[in-house]
Amino acid sequence: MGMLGAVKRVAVESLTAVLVRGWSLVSPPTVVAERERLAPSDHLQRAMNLIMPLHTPNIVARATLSQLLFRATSEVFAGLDNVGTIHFARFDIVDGNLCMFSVYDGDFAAYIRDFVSSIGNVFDDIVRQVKDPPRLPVREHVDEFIEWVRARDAFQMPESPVDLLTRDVETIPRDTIVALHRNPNVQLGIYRAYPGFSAAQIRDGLSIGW
Amino acid sequence: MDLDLAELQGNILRGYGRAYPTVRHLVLRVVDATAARRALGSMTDGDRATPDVTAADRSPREAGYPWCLNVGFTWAGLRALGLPPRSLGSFPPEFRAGMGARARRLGDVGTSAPEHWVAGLGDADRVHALVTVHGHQRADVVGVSEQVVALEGGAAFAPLPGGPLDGATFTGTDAARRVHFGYRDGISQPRFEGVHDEAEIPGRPFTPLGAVLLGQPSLLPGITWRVPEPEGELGANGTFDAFRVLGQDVAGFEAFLHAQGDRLGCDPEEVAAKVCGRWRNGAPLTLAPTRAEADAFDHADLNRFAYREGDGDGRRCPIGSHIRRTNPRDAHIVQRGTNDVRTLVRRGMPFGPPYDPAVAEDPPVARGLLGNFVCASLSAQFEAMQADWLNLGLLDPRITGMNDPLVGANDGATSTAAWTTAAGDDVVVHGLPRFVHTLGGAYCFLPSLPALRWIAAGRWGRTRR
Repeated sequence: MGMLGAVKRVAVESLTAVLVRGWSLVSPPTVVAERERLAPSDHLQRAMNLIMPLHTPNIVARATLSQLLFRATSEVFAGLDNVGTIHFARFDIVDGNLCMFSVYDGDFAAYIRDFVSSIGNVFDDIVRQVKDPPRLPVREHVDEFIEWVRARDAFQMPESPVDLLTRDVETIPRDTIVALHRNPNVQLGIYRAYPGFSAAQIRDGLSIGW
Repeated sequence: MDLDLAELQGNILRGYGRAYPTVRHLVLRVVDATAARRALGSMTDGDRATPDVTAADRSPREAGYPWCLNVGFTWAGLRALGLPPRSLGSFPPEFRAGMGARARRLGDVGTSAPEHWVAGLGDADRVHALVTVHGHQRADVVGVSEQVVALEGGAAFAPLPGGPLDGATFTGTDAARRVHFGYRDGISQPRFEGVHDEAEIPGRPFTPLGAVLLGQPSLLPGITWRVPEPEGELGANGTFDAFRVLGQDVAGFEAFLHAQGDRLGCDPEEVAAKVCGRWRNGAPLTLAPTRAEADAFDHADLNRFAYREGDGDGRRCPIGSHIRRTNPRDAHIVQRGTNDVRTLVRRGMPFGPPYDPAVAEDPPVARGLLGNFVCASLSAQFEAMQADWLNLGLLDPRITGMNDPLVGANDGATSTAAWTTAAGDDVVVHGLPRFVHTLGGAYCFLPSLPALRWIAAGRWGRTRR
């Protein structure tokens, strides 16, 4: 990169920093789940990418969580069956973060609430291992817990990013800039093998009960 | 029951009834917080010489009241009244956001989007209070409404342009029970423990008070809703109201019934029954699968039915029909154990004249429903019902992807409905249009009477605003 390019890059970064600060002050928090989506199937299957920094990211914590989840296997499966709208859910530990990734159908709050109603005690045990845990037991503070989860859910880039494709990266919409600034964790893309079908429809089609 | 009904607003646990066939909803902005709180004090002092909030402890008809009054506040309204940040922050996020901000979730898109809403309801920052007056006579509600606006010399509340919103039941003994589209309405309201007796709303199981009242055990096992703070002074025994102004395309609906009747070779009334789940006289398809049975139906049995035994496959009452989505009763559904937890109290009254096919309407006449959907959790009850069950059909894989044929956010280009005819044929209707359009709405908090007095007093300590 020549001198002119470097100057331009610095100028763009400075301008972006100023704009982000300004937008952060004047913009309300972006509610990720409320964005308009274009594909009909997107109203059905949704993703959650919950990133929770571990309180003490050491080998003991990793072993404890592994043990906790192993012991709770039956309860988690019971929760999946009761909630009925979950395609898959999995826990990972990535770089000191406990992550819960899932694909579910329909409303985010209903998904979390129904899960808490079914196996809130398992959530209690799990979130004790992470930094800044929610108020426990989560069953008694379910509205707060839903917001706690939402705040730790990765920002999801629009699935049909018309604005992003037609603009220079320096001029992408301010809501997107603010969201990217606020949340370092981003879901870039999601690709569905069976778009538009619910978990119950798949189970029904496979005759394994729903 | 450890509950003093004198502390609750009326029309929540029990409706005012047909003695009050006319209603006016005032959509108000708080002009001055101090004046508005003084006005609220006047509205809760028990003196009915001026507008006064009606309590739930006595029948207003038996008490001889010519009018009844309710008041609710949006989150913007509570903020305009000067509630401290700690209280404001303790309300659930969907209420803080307001109905307009939840439009996509609710299916309020296209012509139903908030930018098209009437009576100022799309101007969310200025919609602060909803005052509702029911009356024996139109003059009663007009007079009391004018008094409300005139409180504190007009310095308390200002009506938003485009209002008020007036409704009235249809005249005539049978007609009074019906709404636009011609269905008998209000059949399966919740029956509350300790409020209704065995003879009222026969066939309905008792519903716990936590379906609507904050501070009571919720309908979801083990789940507790957050009560707005301070709990004792403000939140306890309050409830939330999803107020909706719903326009109904009656001409389009009647045309649809006849077109489908012709196409399927059946009575248009059967089509009306299949989209609703009840015949227009209220008889449920599960018990009365033919029109002859519906005409002879004993109306004491309107709620004495379930689905699992005898109609589990929905051949009588379609799985996608309106009443089966809103109240799946004992049916096997995807979200196990939630059959009853999305229960709503529904209060409503039609607006606009009854549709008469013999009268040409140019321009079209506005008509529909002024509806209040009351619940303890807007997210867990109203929104979950609207987003996942009425639209999307997530409660049963056989209807997932289809919206409610009667009230859903359908699109004539892509929407479908399916049912089994009385003759036993499985049919699919393509190009299902949208018959109900959202013309406006607001999420309101209906405080208890002590909470209204607490707000009126404005003594929330030294909390910084």
